[in-house]
Amino acid sequence: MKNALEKGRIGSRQLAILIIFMTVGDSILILPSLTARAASQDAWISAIAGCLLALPMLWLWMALAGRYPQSNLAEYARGLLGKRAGGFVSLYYSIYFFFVSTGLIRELGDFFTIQIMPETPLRAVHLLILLVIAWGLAGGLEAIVRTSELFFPWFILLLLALLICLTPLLTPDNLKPMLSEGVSPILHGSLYVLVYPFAELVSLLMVFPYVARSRSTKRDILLAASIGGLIMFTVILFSLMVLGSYLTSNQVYPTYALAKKINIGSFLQRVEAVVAFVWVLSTFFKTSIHSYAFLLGIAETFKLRSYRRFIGPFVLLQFGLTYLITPNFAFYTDVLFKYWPFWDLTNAVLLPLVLLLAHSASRKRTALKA
Amino acid sequence: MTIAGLLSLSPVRLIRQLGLLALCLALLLSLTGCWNRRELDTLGIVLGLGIDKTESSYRVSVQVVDPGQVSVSRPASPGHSPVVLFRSEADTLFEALRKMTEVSPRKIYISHIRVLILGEALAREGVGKALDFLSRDSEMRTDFFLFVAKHATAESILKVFTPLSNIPAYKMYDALLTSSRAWAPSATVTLDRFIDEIVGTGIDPVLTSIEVVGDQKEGENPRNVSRISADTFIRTNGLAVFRKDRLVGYLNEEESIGYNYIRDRVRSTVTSIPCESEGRIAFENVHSKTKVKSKLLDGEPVIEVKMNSQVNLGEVLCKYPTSVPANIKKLERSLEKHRIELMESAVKRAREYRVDIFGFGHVFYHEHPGYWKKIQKDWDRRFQTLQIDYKADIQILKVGTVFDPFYKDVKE
Repeated sequence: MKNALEKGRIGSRQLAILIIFMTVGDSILILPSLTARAASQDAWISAIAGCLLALPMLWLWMALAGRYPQSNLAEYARGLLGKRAGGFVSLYYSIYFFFVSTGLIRELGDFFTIQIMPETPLRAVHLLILLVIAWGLAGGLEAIVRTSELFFPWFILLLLALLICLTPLLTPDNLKPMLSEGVSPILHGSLYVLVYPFAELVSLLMVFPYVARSRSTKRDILLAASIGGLIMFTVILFSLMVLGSYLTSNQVYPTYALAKKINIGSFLQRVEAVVAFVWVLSTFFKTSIHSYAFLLGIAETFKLRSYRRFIGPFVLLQFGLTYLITPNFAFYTDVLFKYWPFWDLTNAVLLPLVLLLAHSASRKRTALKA
Repeated sequence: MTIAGLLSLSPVRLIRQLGLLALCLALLLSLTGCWNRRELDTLGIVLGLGIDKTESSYRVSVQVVDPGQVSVSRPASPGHSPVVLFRSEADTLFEALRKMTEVSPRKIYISHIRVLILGEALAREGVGKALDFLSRDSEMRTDFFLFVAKHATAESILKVFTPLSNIPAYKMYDALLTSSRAWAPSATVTLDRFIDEIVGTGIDPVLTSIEVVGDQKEGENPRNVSRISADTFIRTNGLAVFRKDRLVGYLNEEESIGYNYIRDRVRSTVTSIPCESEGRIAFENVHSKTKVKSKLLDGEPVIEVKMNSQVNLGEVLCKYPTSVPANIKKLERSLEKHRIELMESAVKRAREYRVDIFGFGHVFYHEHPGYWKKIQKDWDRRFQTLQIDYKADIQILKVGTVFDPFYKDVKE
């Protein structure tokens, strides 16, 4: 820990809040329709299956991070694979984090320009989001995390309000018939639940070394991921029960459509814009952490003394790429449905597994030498 | 900080201070509000939207509120209508709505519509395509009700002045809501439910039909509502039956009530059955719950419709002693028979149209997905001969504030 790039420390409760935010992330917007497209009315079973599949993945990360409690992904990749291969891997991961955060900002931009402010240029929305993110990055990890702590009660309150206000509209009949198409559509649906809320948490491998560990850290991580998973499960279940599987799969933003249905005694209605605050918050924190992981990874790869120098170029790069990443909305959703999950899985499962194997191999080698 | 103070700073600090000042000024830009804000006085708020089909294009009519005429603080100027109707024709709905700016000084704003009226000609041809815009547009919500204009164009419905509520679209919305709660032969169908039933498997949708009663020309004149009894009015009138998105016919009042009983959509209604001799007895439905179950008997599909209902006796038009428990039992049995007849009449009519509006096929899809997959293509034919077992269990709870009809005891 000589020349650590990050001097800040975060507590294990703060980490838990961050994980909940990141699990809900953009998934609350895009996941219900992706899952329903694959598994129609069985999407809620997919949600459970996806959460269960995420457990071994979390275990894998904790095993990896547990071996190197003092270093981040970029550091031990270099340590394990050597200067060249390790440097390449950490650069590769940085680029991956960069692309995820690009996608997230684009999703927010698309959401605003499709649903709320159709005549506002996409780039105006992107710029505003990016400026706030840059501000957070300049403040550093601690600042981002403390902000998330500050917004957490609002986030939970609004989310609960959304769910509670929808309970009168639940139609359990929409979930029938169960398992009519067999298991494979359910597994297909669970892929998205595994990938978008959970696999993208892999950016936390860059954050783990800065967590002030206590005995309960491991438990807190699992608990936070389960709460996030529970939120995703409930949102998918509610979409199916309120909108039905057809409308859920054919809506671009089913959760927003859900919020539009809120009508308590013709009095509490038209609150969807308030409820939209929930995913703006969660997506913001997910994006911030991915951007942070990118900056840290780059600084680590190129042995910079500070990542803060790079915030300006990052904003400019990101501003360009968020606009260029997809020619239109249909292309982006198609990529999300067909290809992106496998990229996520490569980086969240395959590469960490390789690193873990490299670790045990190097241990054996040193054991043999001694 | 004063200017003199600024100048006394070292160059580095001066640049810093100026930079901060520039930043503060730049932040002011973000306080200007929404990019594409629209002020209330530039919007024509639409409450009723009507779609008709002409030869090759859509004819869209909108009922726009005239804010000056409905404000509470300033009484409306007499002789002026509280709403204005604009119409335009174009190949698509989107174009037609924009084209309305040719005649309307304000941009048409449709996210507050209360009713959507589909002209009969359009409905017979299929409404699916006409609804795409409404389901796609980001400003649209799904909390308005859909109607079919019975034997009329949507435009003619939107042109009629209505008593009690000076905005006709509100009148239609409220009338439908009230009648579905207290009278039953109507259906409060919203856009999302309608689409869900159009694409749904083993089910076809219905909408409430609406019509102009009386002389159309008279109804378009404000004089119509200046009298105590309006000569021309609009009223909902039973249900319109669709095959997917195509109108195929109408149910009458009794059949509509029967339909609502099967779909378990009855909140409250009043029905009467004949007495043993002459006259009738009327009951108010206070609670009813219908369960539709499917089963396969030796591979043959059977639907079970089970109704459980509580009613209050409300009016007796014969000398029938209502204080006798045995009589109440008898009435319960004949009421049960009557309910079943209502439901049967609805099914009979639906079979004439060859559409399963009750979603019996949907019940099979839910409960016997394997069987449904096999016969899905053939369901229309099977629906015709489907065995349906009705069961009704009705309790009469109260008979009102008297024991017997008083004229039973009139000395002659």
